[in-house]
Amino acid sequence: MEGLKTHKRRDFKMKKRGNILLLGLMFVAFSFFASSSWSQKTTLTFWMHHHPPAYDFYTTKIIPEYEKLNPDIQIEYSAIPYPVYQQKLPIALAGGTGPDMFGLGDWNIAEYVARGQLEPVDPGILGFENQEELEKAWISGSLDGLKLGGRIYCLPWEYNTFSLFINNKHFREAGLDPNNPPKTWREILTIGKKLTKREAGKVIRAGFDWVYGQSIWYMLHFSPLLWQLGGSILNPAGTGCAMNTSAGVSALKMYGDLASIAGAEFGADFPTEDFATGKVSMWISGIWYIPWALQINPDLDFSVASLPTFQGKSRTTVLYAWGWCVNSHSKRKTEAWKFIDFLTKKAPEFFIKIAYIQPRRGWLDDPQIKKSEMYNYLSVFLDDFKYGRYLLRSEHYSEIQEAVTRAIERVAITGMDPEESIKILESDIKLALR
Amino acid sequence: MFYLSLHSWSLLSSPRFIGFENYKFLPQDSVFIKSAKVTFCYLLGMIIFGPLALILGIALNQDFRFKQLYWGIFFAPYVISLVVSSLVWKLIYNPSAGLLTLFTSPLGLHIKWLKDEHYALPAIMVYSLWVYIGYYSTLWLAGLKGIPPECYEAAAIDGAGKWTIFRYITLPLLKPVTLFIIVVSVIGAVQMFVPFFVMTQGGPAGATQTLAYYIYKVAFSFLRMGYACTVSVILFVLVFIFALIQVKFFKES
Amino acid sequence: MATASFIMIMPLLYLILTSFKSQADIFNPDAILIPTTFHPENYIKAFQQAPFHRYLLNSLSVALAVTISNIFLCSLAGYSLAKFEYKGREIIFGFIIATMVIPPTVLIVPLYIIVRQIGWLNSYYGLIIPFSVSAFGIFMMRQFMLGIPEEYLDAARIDGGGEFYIFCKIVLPLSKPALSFLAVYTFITNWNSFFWPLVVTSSEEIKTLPLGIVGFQTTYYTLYHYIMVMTVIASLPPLLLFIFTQKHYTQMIVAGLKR
Repeated sequence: MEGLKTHKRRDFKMKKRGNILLLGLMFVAFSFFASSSWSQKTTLTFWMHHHPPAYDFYTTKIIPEYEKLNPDIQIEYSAIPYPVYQQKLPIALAGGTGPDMFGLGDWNIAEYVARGQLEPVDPGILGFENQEELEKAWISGSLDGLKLGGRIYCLPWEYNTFSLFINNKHFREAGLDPNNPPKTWREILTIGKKLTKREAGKVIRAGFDWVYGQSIWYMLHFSPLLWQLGGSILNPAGTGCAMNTSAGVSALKMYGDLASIAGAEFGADFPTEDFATGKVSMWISGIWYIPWALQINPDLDFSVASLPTFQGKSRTTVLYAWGWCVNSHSKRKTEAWKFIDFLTKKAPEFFIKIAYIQPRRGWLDDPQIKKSEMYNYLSVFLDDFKYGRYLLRSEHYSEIQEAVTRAIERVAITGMDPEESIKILESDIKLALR
Repeated sequence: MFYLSLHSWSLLSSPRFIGFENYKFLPQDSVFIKSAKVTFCYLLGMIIFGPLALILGIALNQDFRFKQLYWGIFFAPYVISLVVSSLVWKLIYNPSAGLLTLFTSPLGLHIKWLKDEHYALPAIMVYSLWVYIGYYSTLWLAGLKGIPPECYEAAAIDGAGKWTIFRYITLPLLKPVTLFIIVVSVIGAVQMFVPFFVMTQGGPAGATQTLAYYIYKVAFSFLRMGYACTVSVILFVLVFIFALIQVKFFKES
Repeated sequence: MATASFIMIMPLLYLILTSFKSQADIFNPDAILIPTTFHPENYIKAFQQAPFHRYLLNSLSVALAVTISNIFLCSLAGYSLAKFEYKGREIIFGFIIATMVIPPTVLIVPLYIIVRQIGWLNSYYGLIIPFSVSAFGIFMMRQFMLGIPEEYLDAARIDGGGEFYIFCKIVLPLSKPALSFLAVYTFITNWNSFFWPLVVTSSEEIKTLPLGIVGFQTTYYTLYHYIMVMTVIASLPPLLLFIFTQKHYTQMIVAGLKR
């Protein structure tokens, strides 16, 4: 019995400690609640996906600057890691605790608009007479991706296209001239194979590689191939899959061939690292990659070239934009748009530090930009912009993207025949469009 | 959940009642069917390794040198957050610089593991095993400790051998615990989500897309909460029936 | 046993060693196990990336509260389901098991909406209360308590013990192995819980540790070494709890109870 007695006493002590702990927690929770309802300022909640260079920029420069100019506004900035951003946002919006403003990629806008989550831009708040005047203040075409049904829903902080990056050193070693970059996909195929190095059956350097494992990259990489051949994922009415054509099959086949250069080995984990560390000789990415790459490897000797196309086919490139949007259920829409307006006028800082292109008209004339290191690479991207096209628009975009991802992976990774893969894709898209 | 499965709900706007429409799509949904297959494979893999945990539990019931230490080592993987240990194993499986290459390179083997549609699911199974074997064997251990020693003593007096004791005393007395462990491990395996999310995102080409992951995608990426509930209902019904069968099977007098 | 343990521990060794690596070494094929350069300052730098001391405190408080609550409530419920006869007992039990089967993903949104209605979003309540009892715990305690011989309980009743007395003095001590496991399980599950805190918390003051660790993964790259650092740190409390409970896995005490 003795053993049990002491046990009971120990139990009781634990219980007491537990209760005190619980009380302490309640107190902490209460005090937290109390303090948050005290603030007199208007708080703007602002969510974005997490990108470290941008994060530092927002928290140390832009937001303090704005708060100083507007002392009655307090901005609560949340940088959420991208993989979970996709879930946290809808859940918060569904629960009514969504942020006042948040970042969104142009491809997702149709989904959110269809579900009534986005507030269209009010030109008046930004100081314009009407929408036409507002559009004139931006480079023509840059707002198109963020427009739906004639109304603009987001203002872009990033306006991008994808172009070709090549490693000069690898080119020279192989006797190729970096100033004469490959212009067709077939050339990439040959050169890619040539530049690939293997050791004991393992690829240690890929002449060319895509990015795997992230759906949006598949879309951004694959779509230009498809468009150059005159194909598209959905039919013009958006009611069905249009990939079951020779264009669709050829595009998918070429994608798969290019993937087989390195056997889909790298990528996904570190798309940004591989090119910078010299594990990949050629890849396709945007201008924002450059500061990144140089940070990883300051000695990187590379050049940028136009996005390749098919022999004899038109040049088509991909356009995409990330924009700031306002929650249609927000109670602070005006303040949100005012802040966004402020943000869009920061083109020089965005470009120099992070190489984000902010397409407000006149940004190129800024002397700071002209002097920056990034400026040298700009011409290639600006050229590719001219042939750009946005990704497909649909309120079921995510589901379609998923189906296309699987179709691409079936060909590029498991080696399935493109025609077979497209057949499965067709039925998947039919389901997605319901 | 049942209620929602009869609706079309995008999370962001109000639900719309559509009756059994959602259920009609299920057979056409090739992804659903594939996910079900993948889930079943995964479950099978986990069940096959179940007895290993029991053996380990029995081993831990003995006394030997450094027992606490070994026990701790086996249990430690469970302690780490699944998100993190998945990340660690993602590194381990990396074909160019992962831990596994230390062993596969000398053998001239070169496998893409998580990016290979044949090896991805087994790779995740091995990971799951690593995480849970200590956990389940400890559960068995707790069960074994609940058997009064008199039972063993009485059997020993009667002259029973080790195997007989195990079969006729230990196992039957373990019945409630066994039921618990089986049901819990099946439910756990079916709901397993984190490694699929962190390591492969259901790829390559859906080779590691389980029903749990599919439900998540449908609900939060495709914004079709109603359909997600539909799939969940099916999953629920299947597992529930299984659990009922188990309970009936284990019902003791 | 030794070889098996060695295999088990390899990934853990890898984890610890990686926490000392420089970023370049993580993908260096020549430095898979042993880093080329040691960076113990990773441990300091990792903490500087975000308010981790706060996250640790939050995780600890929440996990402890949930664990303590579960131990009491689940054992009470389990005992009731195991040793007492009453109408509808099987149905209730079936219902409890059924709730375990529902995929958590589907549960998240309705739970979120409810928590929001009550006003517990972004608070400790929202993190603790929904998990203060678990179906798993009840199920587990019931199964383990089924194994307690009726004779012990009857003997105590004959001796004149009240039900609660029996519960505290006999049932609980006999269930020590099960309770220990439940404590460790609940603590670990809650300590590592990621999705729910992600959804429920929005301010830095309330965030828990796993959310902080995930922050090291961004769109383009992952700071693996910091993740490892934080994991090593994060593994310590649960491991300590486990070690502490190891000695409670005792065979049923018999002699003293027959009195």
